[in-house]
Amino acid sequence: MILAVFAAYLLTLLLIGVYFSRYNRSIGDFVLGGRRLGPWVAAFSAQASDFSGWLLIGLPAAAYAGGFSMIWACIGCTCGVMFNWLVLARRLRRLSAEYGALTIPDFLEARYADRSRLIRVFSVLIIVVYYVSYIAAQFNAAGHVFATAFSQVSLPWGETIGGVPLSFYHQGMLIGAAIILAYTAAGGFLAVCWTDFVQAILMVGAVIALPVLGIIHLGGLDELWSALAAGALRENMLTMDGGKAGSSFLLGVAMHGLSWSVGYPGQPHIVSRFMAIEDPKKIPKSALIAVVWTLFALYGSLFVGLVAVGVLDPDRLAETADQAMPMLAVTLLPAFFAGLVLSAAVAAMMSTVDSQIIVAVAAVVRDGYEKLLGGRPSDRVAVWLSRAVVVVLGGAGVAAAWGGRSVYGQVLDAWGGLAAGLGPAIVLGCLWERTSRVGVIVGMVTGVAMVQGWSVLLHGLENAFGFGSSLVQDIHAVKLLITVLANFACVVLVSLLFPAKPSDVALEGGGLP
Amino acid sequence: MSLPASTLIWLFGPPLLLLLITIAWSYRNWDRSP
Repeated sequence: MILAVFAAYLLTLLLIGVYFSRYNRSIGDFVLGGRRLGPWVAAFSAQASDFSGWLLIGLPAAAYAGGFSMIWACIGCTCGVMFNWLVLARRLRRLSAEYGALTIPDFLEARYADRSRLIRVFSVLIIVVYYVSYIAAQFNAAGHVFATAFSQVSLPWGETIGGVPLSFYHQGMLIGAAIILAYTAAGGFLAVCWTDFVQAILMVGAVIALPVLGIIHLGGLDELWSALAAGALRENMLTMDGGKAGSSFLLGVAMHGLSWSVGYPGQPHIVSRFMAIEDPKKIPKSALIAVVWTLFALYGSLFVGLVAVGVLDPDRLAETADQAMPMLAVTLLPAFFAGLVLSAAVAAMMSTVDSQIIVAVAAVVRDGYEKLLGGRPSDRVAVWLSRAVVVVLGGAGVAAAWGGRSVYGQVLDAWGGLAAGLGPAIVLGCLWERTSRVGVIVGMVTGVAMVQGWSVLLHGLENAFGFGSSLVQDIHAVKLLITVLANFACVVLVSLLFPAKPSDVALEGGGLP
Repeated sequence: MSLPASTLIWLFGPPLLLLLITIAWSYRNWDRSP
């Protein structure tokens, strides 16, 4: 039954892809849906793209192990979502339509009147390089999420298919990749948004239903607190500081959680959704929907982990807390609903990677081929070219993830590289008129250099002091915050030193109005 | 057991505050052109 529900869910995604294939008549349709998104789809799909498998597997596992101290990450993420929707969305939508921009590099080149093309070159490089490793990391997660989610279900065919040994990790990755590539290549941006819409409903439904049922199962909230206070796993489950004090609390717990927020405006797979909204007047409505969804999703997910402490037998979870959510689903729910909840874990990952693929495809076809190389494909050829690039990028992602090595470090670098490389250019471009072309070019280079510099430095420190040393952990906790803030300061400073000229009137991108 | 009030405030205060800010902003800008 659980597998039948999962199969039905995958089939639904494919049908959505097929349905929207007819709407792709030009590159503007394929990468931005012709600016046709309504407020509900825009809000839900942006948030589903934002939260990956971390929401359904990672956060419950962290809450299962760390208790209330995970609240800081929830607050940090919500602040990031709020900044994007309340501050950035309307300005980005208005300016991108004024410039006819289809992509973030389009927007940046037009906003800074960059005739040298350097901004487009750098932003395309940043997007392609970081998103290829991002997509590989998501496929890696797809395999793990599938294997984890269905670890509680005995799959009838086992880890051998047609005589060929194939682990659940590889099966999950191949199934996930095949479905994602099929509906993304067929339906483009609109298929991505509508599948994300369905996935967002599934995700939030799962993380609301599980804790509610768990609390009923336990007999009430007071019983949940008692179970957490009993300290079956560890102490300090009911404190906000995770039992830490002073600087180790401030750096390791609070700042680490809150610092996620500064990465949000630099992620093209999230902010490009704002450019696709049909009616900018509806953005306040979308913002409210998005923030309410986010709060329910994050706090629901937090409580999934907390409830798991009370409901599940700790001995069975000794090895890995990642099993907390799937095990809770199988324990509490009848097979049909358990199938839905386990599908939600896979949905969380799929809804992120499809949006990342679309952004990377836009950077390759629209920015690279059309704008930088001067290609003039017909609308029909451009759409088919984009479809081919979807498959090539997806295939590269699967190949890179095949070894199964954890790529969590790459995800952090990609998040940081986009946050520092593109964040200041996008945010200041929308908010501060005096931001100059030179400031943004210098900011892109220094942002990426800082992120890679931290990587090298931390690698050295880990070799010298060990990964667990407090110095290494403290640097990990604050590096994103420091990098992004320093890079904002850098762009402002250089913009003041090399101001924009009065002749720098924004360029028209020649895309969609 | 029941939780102390201070813990409850820390647990549910920040999300409520963020929600209130969003509601106020949306209300002010509802159906207005950017």
